[in-house]
Amino acid sequence: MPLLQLSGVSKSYGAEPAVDTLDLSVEDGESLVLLGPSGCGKSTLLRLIAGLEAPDSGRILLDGRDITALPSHRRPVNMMFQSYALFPHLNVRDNIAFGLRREGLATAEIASRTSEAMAMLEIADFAARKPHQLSGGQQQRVALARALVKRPRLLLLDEPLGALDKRLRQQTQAELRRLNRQTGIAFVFVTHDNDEAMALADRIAVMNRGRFRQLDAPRRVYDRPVDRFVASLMCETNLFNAAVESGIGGLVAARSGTLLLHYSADADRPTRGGRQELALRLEQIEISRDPPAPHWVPGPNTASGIITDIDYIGDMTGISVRLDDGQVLKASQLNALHEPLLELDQPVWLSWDADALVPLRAEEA
Amino acid sequence: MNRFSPLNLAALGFGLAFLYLPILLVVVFSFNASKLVTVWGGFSLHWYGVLFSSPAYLEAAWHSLQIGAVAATLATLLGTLGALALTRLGRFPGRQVFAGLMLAPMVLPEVILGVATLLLFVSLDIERGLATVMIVHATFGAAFVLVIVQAKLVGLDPDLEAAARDLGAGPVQAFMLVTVPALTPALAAGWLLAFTLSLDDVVLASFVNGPGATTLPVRVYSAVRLGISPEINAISTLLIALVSVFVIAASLLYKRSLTGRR
Repeated sequence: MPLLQLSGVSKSYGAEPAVDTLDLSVEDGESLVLLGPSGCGKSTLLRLIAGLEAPDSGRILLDGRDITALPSHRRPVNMMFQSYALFPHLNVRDNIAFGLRREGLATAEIASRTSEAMAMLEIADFAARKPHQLSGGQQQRVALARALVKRPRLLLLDEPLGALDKRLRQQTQAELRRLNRQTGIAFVFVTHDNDEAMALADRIAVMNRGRFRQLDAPRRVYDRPVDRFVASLMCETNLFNAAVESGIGGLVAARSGTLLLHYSADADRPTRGGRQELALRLEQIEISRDPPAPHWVPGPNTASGIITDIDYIGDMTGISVRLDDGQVLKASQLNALHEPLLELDQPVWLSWDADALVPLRAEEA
Repeated sequence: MNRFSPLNLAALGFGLAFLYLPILLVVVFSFNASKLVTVWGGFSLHWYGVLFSSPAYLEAAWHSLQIGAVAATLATLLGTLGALALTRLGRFPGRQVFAGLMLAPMVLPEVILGVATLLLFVSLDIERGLATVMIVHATFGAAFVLVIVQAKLVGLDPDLEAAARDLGAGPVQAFMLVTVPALTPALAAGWLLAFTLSLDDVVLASFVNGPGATTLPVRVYSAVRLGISPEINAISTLLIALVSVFVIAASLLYKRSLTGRR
């Protein structure tokens, strides 16, 4: 039985649905990330699970028990807020003990569990400080400790790393993963940052306009995005709207401009003459400075062109290549130490695997 | 430009003199030994002695303090509820009207407010006394409390209460344990301001007070009509001191409530 189960949950503000008849299950100990642009309904979904909002319809089950009507303070679910929402008039220790006091635990137990949580997150040194005397990173830890100390069945984290700088964010990601494994508590994150999603998730639910576009392991979401929205949210990508020409076995031939694209399709293979949208990741394209053969003519999944733009970012170089027919392809490669950098106006030859072309589902209106 | 140019200094001096010279005169002459109000006859605390042995003034002062304390407390309660309604209920029908009505006593001429409430009490056949003055001062003060508390509420993180509920506090508990402490400086500032307003009000009190419920400012006002006696200077000095302390405390608390970290 899954830990948390949502069936047909909807919530709208005004006419626009924020969460639109969603089904979702979260397994015990799992780390699930809700990923999407702002306003896609991910935070609303989190607040519905926390009980801070009531759904218009649908049911929420925790451990098989219907908690749809249970108010927030009776749910064994805790949340870490984006603003941290630390109580300004209480010091760190009292902030963390707040939730335990509400349970009416014995003073000694409150003290020991609070100390334990502070030790786990290495904030014992600031126990007597008020929130405004702490740095952003320290506040984030206090907020996390305050939620974890309740030993919830499920921890909800709303953009937990949003206010931290990049280096601290990467450190904290690793730490959150460790806490997830160490405590066995299921985590549900909300984020708009795809790198963060991939670092934190066992599964990623990509959301747009109150619905899930794809719910899959990070690798699947990245490598096999189901539609254009997911493909472009995860990473910059080349998109082709190709005309299907023929299919031989699992391989389909299609054409975009003068480019001949061969890709593998498993199930619903498009009919001859139909259009198929295809995605091609930048790093899946192999860049060559020399023609593959002396009298090379472009074949399937190859192209040649001139570099029109270069974007050097340290470990990687991204380039834009204008093909002979005017189409622009973007590609990237890891920088090797002894190789000269690519230059503007340099001719390059590009090639890629049939499997690198991902057929996308047609967008709904 | 020189901040302390002769022109600036002159403007400052003139402004201060214009505002505070009359007050300064009252304070100085309250220590006058002479019975004549405008002739200096040497330093003396004589008139303070007269004041403190005058039962009429002491009784009036006691009334004023009672009224001030009760009215300020009521005003803080009402003003806070109004501020909560305006910030938490979102857009409800008649919100603008409600906000206008709550703030009306601030801009309405006090005479009109006085007449209106007097008519109300008379038509409801309520006997006028300490309680009626408390009620009028509470409505008057509530408008000021509302403005102060609302400013604080607007800046308060709405997730604070949500976090308290998430951690196991019921809605009322969450409000009492998290929102009220966060509002405390604003509540205290509002209370002090309402108290001060009540303490120095003549107009409203003279309309709705009854026999045996004379407040200190009303007492002073009626005494002045019979000619200014030196003990009026003494009592004015005491009132000025008291009001200054309260107003300064209120403004310090208000500042702290706005700049204090959320």
